[in-house]
Amino acid sequence: MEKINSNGIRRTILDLCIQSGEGHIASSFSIVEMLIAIHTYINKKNKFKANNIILSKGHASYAYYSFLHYLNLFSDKELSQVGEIGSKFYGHVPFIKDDERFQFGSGSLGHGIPFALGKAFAKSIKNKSDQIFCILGDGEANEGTFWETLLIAEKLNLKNIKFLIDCNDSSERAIPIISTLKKMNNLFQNIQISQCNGHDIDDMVESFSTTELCQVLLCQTKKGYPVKFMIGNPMWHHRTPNPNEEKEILKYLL
Amino acid sequence: MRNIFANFFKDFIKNESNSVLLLGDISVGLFLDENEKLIDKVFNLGILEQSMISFAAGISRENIIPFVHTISPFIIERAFEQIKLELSYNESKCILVSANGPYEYNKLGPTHHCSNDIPLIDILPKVDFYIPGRDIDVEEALRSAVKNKYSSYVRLSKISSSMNAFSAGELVRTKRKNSSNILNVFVGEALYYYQKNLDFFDGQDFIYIWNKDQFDSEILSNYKEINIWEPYSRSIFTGLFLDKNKLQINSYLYPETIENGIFDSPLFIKQ
Repeated sequence: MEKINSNGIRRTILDLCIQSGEGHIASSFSIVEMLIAIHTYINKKNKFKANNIILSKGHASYAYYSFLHYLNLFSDKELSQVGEIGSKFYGHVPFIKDDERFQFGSGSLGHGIPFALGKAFAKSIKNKSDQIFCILGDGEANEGTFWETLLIAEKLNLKNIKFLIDCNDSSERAIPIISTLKKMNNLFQNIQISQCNGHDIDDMVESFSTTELCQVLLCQTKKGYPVKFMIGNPMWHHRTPNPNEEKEILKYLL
Repeated sequence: MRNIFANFFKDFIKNESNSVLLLGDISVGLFLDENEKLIDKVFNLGILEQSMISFAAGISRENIIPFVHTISPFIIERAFEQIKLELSYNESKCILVSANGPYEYNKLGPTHHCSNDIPLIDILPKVDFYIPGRDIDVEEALRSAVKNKYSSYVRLSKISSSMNAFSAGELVRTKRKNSSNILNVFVGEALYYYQKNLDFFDGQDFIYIWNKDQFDSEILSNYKEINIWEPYSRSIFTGLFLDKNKLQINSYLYPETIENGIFDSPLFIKQ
């Protein structure tokens, strides 16, 4: 299968941000390789189903729309509606009834984590082989529901779920949490905690295969990657590039 | 009512395999088998109400009906954003069942009061509520919740009336000749307080309901004054009578003042 071009997806994210004057561009850039890694991993075994991905950090919705578009699961027409007044395709992942691509609307942080575990639990009850993937932010791990979910996962010993934490350090200035997350290794018996490069698709796919347990994968990323002037600059959390900035960003997305 | 719920669920899962019950470490003893282990389909998730609601919503997305059961302020007020987003916005069908009504833990203080549960649920689309005021209504309330396309909150209570001679929504006329032109509407456990104060209501007709849909507003036209008795802190009938302004509508809430009800139990409970 043709390797997915991550910067191609980023160019679509950039277009969406400029077209709509909305979007969390740096947070969306952060998770592009994670989405591709999940798709690559699932495709090796089963048919890819978008509804098995829960994007708990819903503000990265532009990455999700662009990723689906790259897979031909989101039409050009739908792409043109992103961020329009009256459109369902908001700056956060929407819930759209009976649409398999949008079965969990997120935006308020901490909600997708236990929701994803509930889905995994139901799959296990029904003896379905699907795996659930939940992408959350490192700042989102401040939420009590993150820790509560790990307690439930430990109790129920569910093996069909992976939590990918986008460790882009964006929230470290508020509550430093990365070092705490890295120390979780020995806290749980039924959860594997591991680290990988969140911009290296092969590294993530390989990490997915290292355990049969519920997995929490600390994906080391850079917010705004690979755009050098965007990385680590909080101004880019929720900013629409102007025409000059667009040109500069495109130089990094060849 | 909790026992009725437990028996209902045990029967329900005999025929409906696609259901689970999540407990917030409450009523556990009602669901143990002869070996003191929780029966199949029942999971005690402990003290994490927000995650329990979202977790239930995730289960629901795979076409399994989750019941969630714990103390009312924790299930409704603490987890309200989860109810708003997962159950209402994301349309995940879950059945929330409280362990108690608003003041049943009144000796434990205000942290365990929940006089706002019904008003909070009432503002959410796609989440209905059922407030049985008699033991004989509990099973039907639960069955209604199961049949409902969307989520439900079934508020159980220790306060239960034994007035079983009439149906919910049925107009009960006074047998006295000199009857007044007043109609009382008793919602949920308000029926219990009616039963305790029959002399006060002497000569007045009444209707008892445990769900909004049971109320037939056409009946109102035969009366000059309507008294609504509701066991929570804001009337859910606000706006319902806008076109009936020739009537005198009195709403008697439990408690009489919101401030009183949130932090202190009303006098009638203390007595």
